[in-house]
Amino acid sequence: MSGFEMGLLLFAVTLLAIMLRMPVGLAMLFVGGLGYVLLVGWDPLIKTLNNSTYSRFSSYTLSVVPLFLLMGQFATKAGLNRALFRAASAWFGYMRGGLAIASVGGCAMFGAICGSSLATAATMSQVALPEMRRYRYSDALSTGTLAAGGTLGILIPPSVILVIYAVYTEQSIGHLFLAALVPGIIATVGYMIVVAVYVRLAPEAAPAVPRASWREKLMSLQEIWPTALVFVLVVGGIYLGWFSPTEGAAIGAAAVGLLAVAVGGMRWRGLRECLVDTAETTALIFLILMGAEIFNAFLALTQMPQELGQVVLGLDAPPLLIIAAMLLIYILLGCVMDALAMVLLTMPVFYPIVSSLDLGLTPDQVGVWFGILALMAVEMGMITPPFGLNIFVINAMADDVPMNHTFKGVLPFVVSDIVRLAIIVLVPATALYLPGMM
Amino acid sequence: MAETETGSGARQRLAAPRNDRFGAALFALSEALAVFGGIVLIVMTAFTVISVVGRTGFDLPVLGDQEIVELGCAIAIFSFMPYCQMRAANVIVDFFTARLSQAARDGLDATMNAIFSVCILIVTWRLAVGGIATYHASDASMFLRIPQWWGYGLAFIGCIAWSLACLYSMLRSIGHMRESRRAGGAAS
Repeated sequence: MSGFEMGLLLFAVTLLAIMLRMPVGLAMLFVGGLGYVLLVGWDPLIKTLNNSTYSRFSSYTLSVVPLFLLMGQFATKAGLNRALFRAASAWFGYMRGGLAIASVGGCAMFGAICGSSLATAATMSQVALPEMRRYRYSDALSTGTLAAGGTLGILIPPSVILVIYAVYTEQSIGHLFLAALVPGIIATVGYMIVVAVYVRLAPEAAPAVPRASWREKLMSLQEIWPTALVFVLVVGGIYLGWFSPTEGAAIGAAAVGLLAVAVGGMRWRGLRECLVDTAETTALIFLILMGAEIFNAFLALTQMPQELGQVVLGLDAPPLLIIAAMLLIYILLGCVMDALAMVLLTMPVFYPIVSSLDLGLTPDQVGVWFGILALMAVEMGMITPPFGLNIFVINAMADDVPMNHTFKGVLPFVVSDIVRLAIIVLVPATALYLPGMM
Repeated sequence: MAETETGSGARQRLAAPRNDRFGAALFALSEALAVFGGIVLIVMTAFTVISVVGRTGFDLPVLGDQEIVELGCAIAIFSFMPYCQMRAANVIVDFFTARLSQAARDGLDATMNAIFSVCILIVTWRLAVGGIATYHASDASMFLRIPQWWGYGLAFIGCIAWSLACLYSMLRSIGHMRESRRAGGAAS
């Protein structure tokens, strides 16, 4: 069997194992290790394992991941989610569908200090869901908005997936963060438009809410400046090179942690909750990273990615068509699979192909642009049936809402996702303008 | 068992078992390790902040701050692994097997957890071999001269607990499988 065939075969075996409930990270570790043994033998594999796990877990660049997760945990304890939603609803609440628009705005702002989409969906729901139900917003609109709004958590920097993408493709984290900013704003505005159109078509979904006074509006702004400050300091500082991403994440985590103690009244109990939640999420991410390490080493041995790349390039298809096909694969896989796992599983195959396409951009630009596209495509999986994690989380928090109401409510947002993805495919400048400016 | 939820797609994380002393102890140990790792993470955060403030504010760079972060990160993450395992929080895809009987799904989980145990036992063994090699080679970090094997040693503790957690989750899935078989038999 040639390396190429073996690579394809074991790739299929990995997918099969994942379909049969094997944890995704383990599947990559186990099948990757198996392939390694078949190709070069048992001894080289165990020699690699002497140091590979430790060096993966002690990586300076990847230490950003637990730090950003910790920062997101602290943000809830600091009550930032409450403050952000209060401010957004003071400004937008009186509009038709205002509380849903405010939820989108709140999610976007929370996303600026939280790098994960589930956490954003869950924490913003804690404050926004009771409020929308109090004013008798429809189940579909309220839960759908929050499930979709949660994805802003990862589109708007900092973003855990972008960090990992950057490490694996050797791109700059700062550039990727800045590149995600405009697409993140487009996403926010797009979701707000969806709500506005939705309530125009179905006015009974969102009864009116009294208008806030100017005093209330201005007061509410006072509470959001810490969030703004942390975001500007962390993302700006990383981009300008004042400090490394790890240092930026540490500063952010420390600042938000102090807020949680001072403003949110966090004590040992709350801190403990933050720590074990961070532990759980960090561990599941690093199991996937550990598997990806061995799996990628195996794939590199087979040379399958390069050969597959040759085949794809030999098709002579328009580059944009190839990109579109990859994004479609992400969207389809996203229906059943976890976002980060998808990125790590496909990147060794997709990335060499993408970087050899002639798109009239520099290689770095292609890397950054494709990172943003892939992020958006995999995030759609969070809100598409049947395995949309955000949908499940929100639905579990509103336990009397039937699942199909939430599915219905989230559909218009999926349409907006597709439109946005098309915009960024066709106009790469949306992502590349900001990082290219400086 | 009421511990596992089915059908909804969002899997319920498992809590500490009640009627099983070994499981409860292992769960408590994993949780303690998770908190320990978290505290390491916080120390690492504080250290990094001090280093940045020293560098930019007072022109006093802290040598070897990266080494501390790398060491802390490795210790923290290895300490996090057993907790995630005990909570059955790892990412799985349950869409394709949703139609199978509960007993069949538990059987698959038991198989996967058996493979998991073998893999992590190998990883633990090799981590020990790697650690011993760095000890003999007296490898140390560049600036602070921190011996490499310290990190390996603390990581090894996490890894041992992780291996135990894997073996325990295998037994737990087998227990679940037996129970759902019995429940299935009783229902039909």
